[in-house]
Amino acid sequence: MNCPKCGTPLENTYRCPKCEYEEPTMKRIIRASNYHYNVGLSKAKIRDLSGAITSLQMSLKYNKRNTDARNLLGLVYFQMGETVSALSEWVISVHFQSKGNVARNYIKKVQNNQGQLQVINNTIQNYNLALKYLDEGNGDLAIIELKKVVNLNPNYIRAYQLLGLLYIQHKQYSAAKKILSRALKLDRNNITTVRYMNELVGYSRQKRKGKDIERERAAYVQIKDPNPIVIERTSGGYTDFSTSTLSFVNILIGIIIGAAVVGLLVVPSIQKTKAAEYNKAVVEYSSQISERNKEITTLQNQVDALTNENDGLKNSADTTSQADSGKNQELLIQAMKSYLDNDFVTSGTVLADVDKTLLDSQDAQAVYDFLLAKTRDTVVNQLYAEAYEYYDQKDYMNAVTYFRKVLNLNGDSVEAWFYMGRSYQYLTDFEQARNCYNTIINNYGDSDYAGDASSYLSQIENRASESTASEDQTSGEQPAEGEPAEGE
Amino acid sequence: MINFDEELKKYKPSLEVDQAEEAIQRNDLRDVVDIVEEMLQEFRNDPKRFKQF
Repeated sequence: MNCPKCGTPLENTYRCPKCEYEEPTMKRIIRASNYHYNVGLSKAKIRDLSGAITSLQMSLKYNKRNTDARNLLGLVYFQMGETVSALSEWVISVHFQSKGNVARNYIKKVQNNQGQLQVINNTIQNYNLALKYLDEGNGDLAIIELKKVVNLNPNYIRAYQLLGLLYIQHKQYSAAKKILSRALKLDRNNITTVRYMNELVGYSRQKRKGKDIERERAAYVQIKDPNPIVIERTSGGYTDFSTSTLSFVNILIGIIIGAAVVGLLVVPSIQKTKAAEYNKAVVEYSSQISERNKEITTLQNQVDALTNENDGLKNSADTTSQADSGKNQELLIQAMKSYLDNDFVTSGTVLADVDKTLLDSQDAQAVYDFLLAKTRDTVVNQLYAEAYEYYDQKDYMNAVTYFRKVLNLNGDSVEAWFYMGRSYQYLTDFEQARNCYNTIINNYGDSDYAGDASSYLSQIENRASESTASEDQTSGEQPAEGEPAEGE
Repeated sequence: MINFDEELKKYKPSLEVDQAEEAIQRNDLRDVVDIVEEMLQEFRNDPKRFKQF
């Protein structure tokens, strides 16, 4: 509209900016628009959103350039979940007033939060899908989709209303009451919501007045969906509590199924494998035990055989001992006979062959001692002379035999010990030679032969060490120092 | 009593975000100011017509 006087366009004002003329018709229109804006603002403050929409739309019908009314209408739409309508109003508002318009900030906030915008778009798609399900007669699927919508966008009043209506249709009155109460908290005087609530109260009264009260109560209480409203809105964020809960439940079910599969399939297989290994081990150990038993039997047989052999050897030893004892007895009797014939030399010689330790009875030992006392001096000298003669003739075997006879009659003959040692040394029986020399050194250390015995003993020790160092030198070699001294 | 079928018919699909432009274009922006201006224009063009009222 232009100024009637100067023709200047009057945009959102009734006073001409050029001639200051107040156009009366425009003034009435703008005042009417402002009046409805104020009413709408008042209703919006008390959360009568649908009433506010009516007043603000009326305001804009009077004056489409009322930026405040259009911005507030966009906010109310946004609060009711009608985001597309809100954006439309803000865009138009910016179109009419591009500078200093708060609607530009609103648009920027929505556009900058792409995640929220995507969620809003998803809720709208789900809502439209629910309507499609309803057209196809799938009320249950529509309820599911609408539950998703109210979870994602808790301000979407149209979704609340439709969900409440479907609950009423499915006679889930308690759930419908919860849903519609939620919608009434968002928009107190929404005509549709209030009408549904009134219908709901009517249904409840009607049910209570029915004949089968108990049955009706059960029907009233029987809720197919015990928790139609999932969450309260938190800090303005869009959260999909139901989806996450369902995901958690699905994961839990998956874990349980996995455990069941492991328990039913894997564990028996493992147990079967263990049982097979156990049986195999049992068979192996049984075979080992059998082998051990065979070995034990074989060893037991060997033990028996050796025991028998040992017994046989013992018997043989006893027989031999008995034979030696008998021979000693005969020699003793022969010595006694020679002594009685006054042949003391023969008696002493024979007696030298008798081993006193093999004489069993004390009487025989007494006879031995008697004959030894009577013949020892004579016989010892003769035997020593014979022994030395053998030694001088280098017949060391007989020399050793006769020196032993001498020592059998007179154990204190140092000369006999010495020359017997020398004879053993020539015979390379160093162990016997060493015994003879040690006897002289230990028992007759003050004798004239002690020094020579020590010297020869040293030779034997040196030779033994050399033999250990060089295995080439055998025991068959004659000792280098083996020549007896002429003066001995 | 609610007639559910009739009630359900009242619910129309919502416009998605990418359809906002379409919503803006469909918006009827004709206000009282436009109507008055149109009337004044018609009056100026044919004053005799209005004298009959």
